[in-house]
Amino acid sequence: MKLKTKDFSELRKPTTKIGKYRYRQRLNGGYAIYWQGKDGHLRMIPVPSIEVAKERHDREVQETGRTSKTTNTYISFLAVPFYGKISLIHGRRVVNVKAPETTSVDGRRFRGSMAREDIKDSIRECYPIDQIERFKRGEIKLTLSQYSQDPRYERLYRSAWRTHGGFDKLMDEVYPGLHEMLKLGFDREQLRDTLIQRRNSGLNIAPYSLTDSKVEEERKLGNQIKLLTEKSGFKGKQARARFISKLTGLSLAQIRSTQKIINKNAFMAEKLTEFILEWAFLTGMDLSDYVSQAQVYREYDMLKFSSNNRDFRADRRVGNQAIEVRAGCREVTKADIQSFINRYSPGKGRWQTGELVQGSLIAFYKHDKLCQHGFQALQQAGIKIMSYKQSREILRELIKIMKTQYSTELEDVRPRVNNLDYFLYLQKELSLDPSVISRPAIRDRRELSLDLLEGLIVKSKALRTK
Amino acid sequence: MKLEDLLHGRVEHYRGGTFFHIQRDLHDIDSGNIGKYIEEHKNVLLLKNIRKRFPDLVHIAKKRMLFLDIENCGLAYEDPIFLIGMLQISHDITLKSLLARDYSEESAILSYFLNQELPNYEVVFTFNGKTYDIPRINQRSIENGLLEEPDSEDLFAYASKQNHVSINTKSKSENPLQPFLNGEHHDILHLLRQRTKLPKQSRKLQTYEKILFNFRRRGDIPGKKIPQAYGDYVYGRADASILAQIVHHNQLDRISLAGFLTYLCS
Repeated sequence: MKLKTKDFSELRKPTTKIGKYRYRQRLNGGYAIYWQGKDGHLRMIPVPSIEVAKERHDREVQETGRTSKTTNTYISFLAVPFYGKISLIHGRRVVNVKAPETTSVDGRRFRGSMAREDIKDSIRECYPIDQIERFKRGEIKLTLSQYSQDPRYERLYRSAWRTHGGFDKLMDEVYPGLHEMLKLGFDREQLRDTLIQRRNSGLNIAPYSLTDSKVEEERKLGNQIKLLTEKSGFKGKQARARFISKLTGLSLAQIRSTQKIINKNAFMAEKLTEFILEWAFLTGMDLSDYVSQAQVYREYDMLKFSSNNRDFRADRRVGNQAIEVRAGCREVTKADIQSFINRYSPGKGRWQTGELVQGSLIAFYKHDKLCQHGFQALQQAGIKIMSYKQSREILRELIKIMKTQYSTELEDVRPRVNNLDYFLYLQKELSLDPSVISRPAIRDRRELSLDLLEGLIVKSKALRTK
Repeated sequence: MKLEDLLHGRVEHYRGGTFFHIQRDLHDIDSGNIGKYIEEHKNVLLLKNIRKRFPDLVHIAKKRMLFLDIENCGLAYEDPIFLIGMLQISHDITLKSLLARDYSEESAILSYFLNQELPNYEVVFTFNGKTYDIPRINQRSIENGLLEEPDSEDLFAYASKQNHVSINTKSKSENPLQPFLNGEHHDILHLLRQRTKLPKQSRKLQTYEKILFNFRRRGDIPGKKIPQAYGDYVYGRADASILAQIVHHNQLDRISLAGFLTYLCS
């Protein structure tokens, strides 16, 4: 019996190159189209001959009034051997068939382009300027869908995308930034202002600390930065910091250094408190409303205590009283207040050294409006409070005494203390406006302030032990 | 020895800060040949002679001309300015120095200079001040929160390109340095370079002193040691005499500036 073998002779025929495609005519009149796929692999599609494709097209049009997707694909690929590209329009020319008449209502409605100015006018009509101002003030809500979903604007909307490069661009020509604001729910300009305001208030703007923050508002800001960074096409290392830099005009160093400087400012506020306490005890000032006179500790192990089965560390310790210091422009949240109550309520905590935590004082180097909402709850829980104004009065009084009674002793202090009033200025700066002292370029003054406070603390300790 | 006795100045209180204010006459300072040269050629410093050399000063009174020199804690942007030295020519030659005794007083000297001194002058003479002194005062004043930060050009370009951010054109408080940044400022170094052909590495103030006035500073603190010396004073590792040396160095620089102008006008 003679075996019937398949004829592979056609595979040996050479391919012809046209455009970025190659094709080989098959024995049945059809074509094999080859091209390099995006993944680098060679792709091939067999398409029927022109006659077969035409017959298939005519049959389908006669039966259903339209052509199937497969037929359209064949016709599109039949354009390759003649025009070097996949194209339904060119394929129809090859096969010699006409495009089917569109009869659907939708098709007629969306055909044709609308004038650019008509679309812009319709945007102005849909989003009146007064409404936009109210929207920016947060009084009303506007959405993108109120235009795109409205049957009155549907034809204009589709035309904007089809013939004018996108609805977003036209909308930006009418109201710059509005499209993005409606889409994302926030404004680039607002974000920029918020970031600059935060930076000027000495608050953190490092993107990852915002995203990981415990404060909801900061997390929201962090997410907005994340979203806009991706949208603006910033990729790779420090993309978010680079985006903030571009948005606000701040240098990367300024953005990155904020957390370090905030920590340093907090450290400075702690030292300022220690300085006040040490010198108040030395000069015999009455601080009985806040703490009773005792030794001031700053050693790490002396500050550890446990409360409610959790371990904490106070900022300073006076005898067996815990001192917590809060500085800067960040608002004290309800969670912070609750945390203070859990930590510092009297009788609950025990120092690592074994003694009971006998009372506690929280010194707020903040504007009252940022923290006074928690004063009542803290006082009810038995925690003492020293507000900015109170600490300022104490410091003013203290400096007066130091100037009159300790001027000779202060001459030995190193670094040199040229102006004691500087500490009043420093306290005000740390509490109300840390914008200057938080700048990377003010490094030397920051370091000197810490050294000055340290020198004065050491001096007071020496004088107390005399 | 106390600073007041060494430098013959006084502590000035200004806008919540303090600094040390020194005011001396040319006769009080040992300036060797330069002082003599200025005395001998005093007539050259008449305004009509200066105007011949600088025709754009026609409308400016002599006492509204300022010779300026500053001292810093280094060349980096975070290094503070601690001394602003000024020289004014009227009947006598007066030298004023605004000295920060530590880094916390930088803001006070800058603020005093911008608000109390600079408005009295219409033109500034410096040595390499176009590149250094004036931009540096501007930069440190911005960093100290005394002047507003200009909007970044990058930001503006970005905003225009993106068409998203509408730049706020808020009216900003006027920068008193702006006229001098824009050109009411003569850099004596540039003029000397045109007049005397020296190799690039020799175009230094003290080289010109040697060449033009045959003046060699003896016992003067070198400029490169000034930041370290000042740091030593602030942290108590050196006494006030080191500060007196720095101030004297700066005063000589300013007198040389006046000498150079005399030379250029003669």
